[in-house]
Amino acid sequence: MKGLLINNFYSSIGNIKLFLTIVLAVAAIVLVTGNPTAQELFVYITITALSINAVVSSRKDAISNWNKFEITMPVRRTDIIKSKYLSYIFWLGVGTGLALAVTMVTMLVHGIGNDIYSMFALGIGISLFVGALFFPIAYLVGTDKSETVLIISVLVAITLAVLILNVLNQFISYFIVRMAAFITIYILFFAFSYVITLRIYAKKEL
Amino acid sequence: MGKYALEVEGLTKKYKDFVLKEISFRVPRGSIVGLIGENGAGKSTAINAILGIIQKDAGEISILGKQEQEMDCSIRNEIGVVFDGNNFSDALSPEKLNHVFKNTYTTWDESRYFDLLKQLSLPRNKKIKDFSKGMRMKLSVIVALSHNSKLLILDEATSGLDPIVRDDILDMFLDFVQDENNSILVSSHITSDLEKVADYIVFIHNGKVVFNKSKDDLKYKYGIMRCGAAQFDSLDKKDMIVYRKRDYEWDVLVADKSSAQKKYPKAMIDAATIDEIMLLYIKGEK
Repeated sequence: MKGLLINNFYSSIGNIKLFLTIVLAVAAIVLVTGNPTAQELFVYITITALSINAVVSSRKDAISNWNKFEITMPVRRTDIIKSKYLSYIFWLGVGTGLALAVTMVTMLVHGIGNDIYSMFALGIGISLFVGALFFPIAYLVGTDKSETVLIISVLVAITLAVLILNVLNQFISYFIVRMAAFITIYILFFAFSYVITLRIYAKKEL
Repeated sequence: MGKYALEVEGLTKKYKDFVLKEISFRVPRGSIVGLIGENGAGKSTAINAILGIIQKDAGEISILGKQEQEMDCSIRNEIGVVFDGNNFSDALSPEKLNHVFKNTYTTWDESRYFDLLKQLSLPRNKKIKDFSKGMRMKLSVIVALSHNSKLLILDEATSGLDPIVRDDILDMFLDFVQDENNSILVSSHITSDLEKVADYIVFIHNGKVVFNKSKDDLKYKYGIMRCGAAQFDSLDKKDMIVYRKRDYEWDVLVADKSSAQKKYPKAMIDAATIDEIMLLYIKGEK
């Protein structure tokens, strides 16, 4: 399992330059202007982009035959899926940390801006929804089609996260309870996705 | 420790347009078994089913003396696998690959891995995406040989390689089976490679095993009788395995060329290459 995580890490790090260039360019704009809209966008882009970086390597693995080879190694199929989800959470954490650091500096320089909790809850929510949708669909239709699956996952995830947040706004007036409900929903969704992907992959023929 | 490194019995896999039908063969310890057949004959399907990449519909597979129900994933420490083309993530270098496998195979032998890289002149820090096909295949074979494998399973490992790289790889196979506990199952449609190294040949055609023979039998006992129409008509049908009509002559495959020569002293009987035998089976008649 450790070997799988290391492979996922090395595989993802190959794409990170492109994602970091985009993220750092937006970070510079946010830090210079202190614009609240730019700051909000930066949080969403950073968290989502870095976690998406983890799934981009799935396509590379399919092209390079690695996804076939790894089944022949002394690892269980469960470990392969677990490593994919853990790598996703790792890059989500890196993205969140980076977004938090830039947001803190912006707040120090330009004063208190946006509602930081909502921003991060929505950013992490969208990102977890993307992962939760991507993995089972990609393994169902084939990881070689992961680019199309990724685009669909991002679009559906944004719609779903905004929709759920709006519904919660209607029924729950307390902010903290609303955020707790939102966080619980997307964690459950991600966990459910993991179980589904395990089932799909258990009988997957490559 | 059993006599066989791999036993396949009645392996069946059904697809909409292809069926691998109850194939059976064995890989004795200390031997190289070549799986031959044209493209699409079922060689890769058989190998994928043995490795658990696809699910079989029927049959029994025993690897290194363990039946499927007794196998856990730790047995894969002892199985080295090489697929045609690339096997690893392109973004990695052999150095990084070492970190991956060091943390995957409990039997990983780091010093052997680096020794083999050096021996075959592969760079440690170059990304695999910049490797030629030959370098990729060498790397795959090196990995398969670096975790104390007892059984190598190779699917078209030498196809598309130049003769020099192929020769290097075949030498590594021969070196590997010097230890009589080690065995190799190698599929290839390049029969000349298998003629050099294999001890047994399993020929698959249309998803069925056509023959399973020792290479020496095929090479030294089998023969192709070249005869005209009159001579062909006089042949005893029992002596023919398969035959094929060419422009003005008939090629007849016989199982024992010396006894055929005694029986038909005027017939011209040549030694048969595996390629010719395979072609006769595919294109000939019974």
